[in-house]
Amino acid sequence: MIPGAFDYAAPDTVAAAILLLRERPGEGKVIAGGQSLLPMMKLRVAMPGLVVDLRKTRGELSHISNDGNNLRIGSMTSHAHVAGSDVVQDTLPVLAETAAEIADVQVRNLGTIGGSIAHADPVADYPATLLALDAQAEIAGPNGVRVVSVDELILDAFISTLAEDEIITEIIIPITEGRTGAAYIKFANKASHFAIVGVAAHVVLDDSGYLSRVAVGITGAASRAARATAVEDTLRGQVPTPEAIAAASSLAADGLECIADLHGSPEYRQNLCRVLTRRALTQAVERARE
Amino acid sequence: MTTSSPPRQVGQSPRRKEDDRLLRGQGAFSDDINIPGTVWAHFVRSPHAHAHILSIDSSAAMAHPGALRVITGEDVHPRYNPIPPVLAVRDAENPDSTAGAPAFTLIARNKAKYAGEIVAIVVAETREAARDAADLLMVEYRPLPVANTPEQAMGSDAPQVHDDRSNEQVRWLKSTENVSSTFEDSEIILRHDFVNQRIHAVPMEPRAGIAHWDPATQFLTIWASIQGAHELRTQMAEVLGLSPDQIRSVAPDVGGGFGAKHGGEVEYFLLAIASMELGLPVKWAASRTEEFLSLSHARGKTSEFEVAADRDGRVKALRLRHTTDLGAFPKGATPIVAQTSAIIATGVYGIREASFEVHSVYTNHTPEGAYRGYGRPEGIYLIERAMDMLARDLDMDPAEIRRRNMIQPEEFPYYRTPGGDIYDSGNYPEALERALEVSDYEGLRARQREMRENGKYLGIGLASWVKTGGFGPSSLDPSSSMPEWARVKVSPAGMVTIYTGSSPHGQGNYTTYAQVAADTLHVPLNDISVTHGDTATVTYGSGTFASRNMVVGGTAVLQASQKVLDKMTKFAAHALSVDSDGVTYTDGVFSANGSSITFREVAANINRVLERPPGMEMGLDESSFYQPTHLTFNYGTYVAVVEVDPETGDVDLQQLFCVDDQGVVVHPVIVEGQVHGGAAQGIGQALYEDIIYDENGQLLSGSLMDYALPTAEMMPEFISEFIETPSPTNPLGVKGMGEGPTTGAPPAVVNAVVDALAPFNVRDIAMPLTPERVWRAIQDAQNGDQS
Repeated sequence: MIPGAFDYAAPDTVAAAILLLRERPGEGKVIAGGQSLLPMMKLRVAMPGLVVDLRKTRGELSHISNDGNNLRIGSMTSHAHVAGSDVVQDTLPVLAETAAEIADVQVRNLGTIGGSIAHADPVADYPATLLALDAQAEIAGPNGVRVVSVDELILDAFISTLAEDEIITEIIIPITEGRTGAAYIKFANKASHFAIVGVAAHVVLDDSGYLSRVAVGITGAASRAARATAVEDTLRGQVPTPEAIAAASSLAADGLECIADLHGSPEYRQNLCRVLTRRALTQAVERARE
Repeated sequence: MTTSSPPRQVGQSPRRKEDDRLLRGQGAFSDDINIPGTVWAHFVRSPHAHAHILSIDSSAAMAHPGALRVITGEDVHPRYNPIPPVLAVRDAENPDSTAGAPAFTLIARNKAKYAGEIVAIVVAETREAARDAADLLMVEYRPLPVANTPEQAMGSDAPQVHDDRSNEQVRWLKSTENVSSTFEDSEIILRHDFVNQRIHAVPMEPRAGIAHWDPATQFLTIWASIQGAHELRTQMAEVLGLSPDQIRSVAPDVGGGFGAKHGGEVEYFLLAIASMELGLPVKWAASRTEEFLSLSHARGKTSEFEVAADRDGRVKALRLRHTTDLGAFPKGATPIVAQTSAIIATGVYGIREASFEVHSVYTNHTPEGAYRGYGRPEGIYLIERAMDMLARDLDMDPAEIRRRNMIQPEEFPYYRTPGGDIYDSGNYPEALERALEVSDYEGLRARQREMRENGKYLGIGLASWVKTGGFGPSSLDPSSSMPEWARVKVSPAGMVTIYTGSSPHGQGNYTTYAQVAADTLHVPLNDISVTHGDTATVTYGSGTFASRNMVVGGTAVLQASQKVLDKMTKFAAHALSVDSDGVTYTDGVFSANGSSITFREVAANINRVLERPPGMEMGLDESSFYQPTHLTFNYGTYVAVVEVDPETGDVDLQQLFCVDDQGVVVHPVIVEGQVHGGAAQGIGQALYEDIIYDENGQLLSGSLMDYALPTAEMMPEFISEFIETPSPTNPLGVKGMGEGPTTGAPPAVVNAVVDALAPFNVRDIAMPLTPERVWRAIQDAQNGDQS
């Protein structure tokens, strides 16, 4: 398990990192926590000529704050930091719940939210929750800063719309007021502990107990995380009775092209989508009612 | 002489002597051994399961900076011998059994026979350079059709794995006289096909080794992560054409073996060859995926199983047709594993009639080898699953059907099974009843009924099992026996050193061998050290395998300790001017007629000419061989408690109650640890682990990302209890025990899951019981497809 030879740089600033990436088109790879890239390099699946390490940019990129409307998480913030953050707990506890589900302690200590999104692993946990919460990503590049939704950023398995000289700097998640509840439920692969399917549900109840917002993000099932729009459309404006949740959840796999691997056939993944969607919605509604 | 002992060490649980060093990272494993001037080997392995090797072009690889040599089959085969089989397949009762095993080829030449077989060795100045140069080696293959399952490989038009012999290596038959007539006369016949899937031992430490041939002295030293230094030396001498006296073989700290590191690892021979070719020390350390591809797999058996019984649930006869996937070569004693797994299928029951038909077949898969249980778990799995099926068919409790069939205590010692095993001692019903009591079996059944009413699915699974230990003589060939050797030396300062040929790699023998010697010599544990695993210091050794260390190695330690004590007693008698019979030895003091001499004084004075009795030599240094005449058979009953989520198929294994009889228990905490560890591996087979090949013989589950090794958080609560029937086979009264839990756990867990799903009419689920398999079994049963 020895990677191929590569050049290494650890610039002090994001701007310097972008400059380095520009100088070596086609060769550069950004390393954040390294929890996905390093195994790929050791397997020689990835053989970058230049590795640009963001470890010295933590001052710039590792932070969690509440700006009044949004939770802002710097891209170099570790999963452990998110899982243990009071700010996250007070605003969007489901994000802490999701972060705590990622891999193991060692991975959570090093792995970062920006790295996870940039890697676009179809079985990663964060995308389900970030999609359900309508999260956006702030991206720095040679031409300045742009903001896109995480939904637009992730294209397909391991493919994002990030240019090779762009770096995610912040994840921006709107904070919902009112009677709101959310849950992330993961059914893990017994070997890697990645999600075979993971479902995040986020709901807002109006004063009469009707669902004014319902969002379901599903990871693991298909080649990229996606929103279960059929479920959302069926439930929106309804009273979330167990029957209504069950009926809507039966549509959870609609429109998903479920993948097959050693750990689950498409039919099994479809089943998990339905079961976990029902469970996540039920829990989200319970939390909203508390 | 009479002795009265201080508090006995055997039966206590002193802190393990080895842990401090190992837990602080101060161990010395093979990869920690460094010699100045060492160069590195990288093994280039076939990406194809079956392919002709058309050409190997090493020019680009050799042009890489640091590259030193590329060695191929063309270089190795003319000059070195293949690895001889460890044990020949012999059976005194069945002389017609064929034993035409091909020797294990060191490196592919002309043809690669499994994906992962070594086709070249690239040696370079550094580990990185060897790895990079290996990428530049151009090997041209022509893929061949693949013998991918034993069933397919036995077909008449199957691709031949070995050009000079058929794929079916052994067809072995054994039967009692009245099997057919018993089946014809029986009221109930149960037939079922079972699979014991291929799995991998996954020792924590991947293999590593360093070979150093010194051209000046014509002497080879090899450090390797192996279970037996002496066995490697013997094989090494044959392969290299050297005298064993030209070889020092060392097994330093070894991070687990479980049988998979028991002989026949081609890599170590190739390291030695590379060192001899270059005249430099050559090192290698495997990656995890390299281990999945090339360190032996195990179990890999399909079985057609039939049981004849009466309506009262009394089993009269069984018939077994058993097919085992050897992989491309017979590693070590694998062909015997198929036979040992078959003959144990009568289990703990007094079944009188049995026939066994065993097919051992070559395929284009990684060779199988030994793995914790050595065939016995597969056979026990069959009978324990069948007992549950029979109980359900007869509407009988699984505990009751076991009770009715068990071998009774008065049938011991030395109960002979239809397969030829001789069970040494035990009280099988006691283990069953105790397990029912400890688990509150009736209470569990009540809870199960209650939960079912609320749509929750609790399952309770029993397994009563028996397992060989103390190898020893082979059940299949009583004329062969592997002894063990020990040497006990007392220094003039009174410090004791034990030398043993059975070296631990996790078993705790630094502590437990010291306990055995301490009870004889009455010295504190801290005054005793254990030396092992080095042919330079240990004269003889068979190695560590088949739950033999305490039974065979421990008895040798006991015998050598007694020899030392005998000599010390003679010396003391002389010093005290009495006969040896008149000396009492208590708490380290020899006394007679009111005068005494201490252990330490004897140790010091025995080296002084004037004080020794006439004719007695100086020194306290005795060795002893112990050659057992019988195997030991530990046994037990396990109760697994699971809850199954029928919507996802997820199995929550909540508790495993383990009642074990391993004879006299030397160190209860170590033994309980063995129960936990062995059961963990059995749970792995039952629920998680699976070696999966695709249709081209490519290994799909070749990393820990895809091969589900259970982790600590996937373990149940273990409730462990011992009962003790001393083994009559050895003076310590111990039984081998490390493999019992691996044998008991799989059927207990599978029985529990199937029991949980009885309301869905699920009858069987093939291991591993992954969530999807469990979910599908429920779907299929609901749709009326009986599994």
